[in-house]
Amino acid sequence: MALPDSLKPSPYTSLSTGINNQSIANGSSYTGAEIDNTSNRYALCVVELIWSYATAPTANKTLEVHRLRCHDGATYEELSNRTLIAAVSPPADTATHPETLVEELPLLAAKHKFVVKNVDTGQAVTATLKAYAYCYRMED
Amino acid sequence: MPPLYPRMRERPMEFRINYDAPLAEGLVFAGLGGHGCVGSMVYPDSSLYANHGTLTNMDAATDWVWDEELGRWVLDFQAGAEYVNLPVEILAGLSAWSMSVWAIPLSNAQGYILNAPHASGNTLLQQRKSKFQAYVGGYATAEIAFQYGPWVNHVITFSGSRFDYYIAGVWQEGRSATWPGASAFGLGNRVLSQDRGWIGRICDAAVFNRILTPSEISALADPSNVDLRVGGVPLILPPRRRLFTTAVAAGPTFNPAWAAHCNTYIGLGSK
Repeated sequence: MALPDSLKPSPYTSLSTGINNQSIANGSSYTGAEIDNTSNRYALCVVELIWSYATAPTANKTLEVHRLRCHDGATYEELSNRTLIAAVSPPADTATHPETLVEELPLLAAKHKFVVKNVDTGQAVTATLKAYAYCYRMED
Repeated sequence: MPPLYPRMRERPMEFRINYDAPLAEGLVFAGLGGHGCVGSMVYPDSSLYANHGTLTNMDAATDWVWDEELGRWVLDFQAGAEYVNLPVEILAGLSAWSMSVWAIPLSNAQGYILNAPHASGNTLLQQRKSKFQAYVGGYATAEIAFQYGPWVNHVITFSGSRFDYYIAGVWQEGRSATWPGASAFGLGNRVLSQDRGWIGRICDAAVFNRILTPSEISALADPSNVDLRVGGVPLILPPRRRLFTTAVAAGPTFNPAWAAHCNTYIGLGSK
């Protein structure tokens, strides 16, 4: 029997972030659904943000994506600079923009929530946040 | 055995801070890029304090530029009202400090590279035509001529009663001074009035709450030192990943139990 000798990323498991075509007003944030990683214990995840505007936003402003962690099963950390995982500056148009924000976000065996924050773009954004969990494993 | 810390040739967009590194000690601001900053108006702080800065009057789509020489993403400043606003909290309570920044001037106009304004005057670091000058409190070094074009590392240290200025790891001048604190902090312009816009590129702005050692200043001045290592220990590590030591796997008597024992995580950190 051949011994495994290649380190490979596993196939993705899609995580339900609860942020699907969500309208987020300027200056507001939206917190997604709880993602429980305590059983599956995936090690890493990819995070993708897809956004669009009905009315073009002001250029050179910011959408932020945060990840909140819950280590004790009950209490989530607060939204802060420390929870920021990525930011984008949406161009001033009404096209749909998909963007991979992070490829190797560490996931502990805890509960997580993602937050999309429309910091100052000037218009309401429609946002979908996708997360795909994976591990590295030895394979043939 | 493969090296414990393979040298980085280019800085990846995703990385971790190695809190066992010499340069992690006293690190209160680390503007090292990463965190998906390219194309965003956020100037991320990779230190524990997460005091992220904001690109102001800048263009996120074009002002982040990849620099082949440094192997890092850098910020491009075109004078005018452009600057990066950094939280003044970074400087709160500091009695001694060091600041490091890489800069490459792209004109010989006057402009501020680092600025922390106070009524007593904290220009910090400016270009005056074809010369650099460090300025702390109400005290300035002489204007120091430079060859403009190459990337140069600048370090200013402040002991509590004296500041010293280093260019490319070489001490230039020191002066007695007092540090009055600051009402704002930023890169690339006079922060409060934006009337000293600088033309050039900046990267790796960092602030420490202590005086850097000569070996640290020298290490920071090496353009090939992408992972900011001192004494072989890097400040920057790739994202946490499980590795398998190939030397064990390639052995003639491969023992899975021994291989499992040798599996190592590169660091354990929360971020």
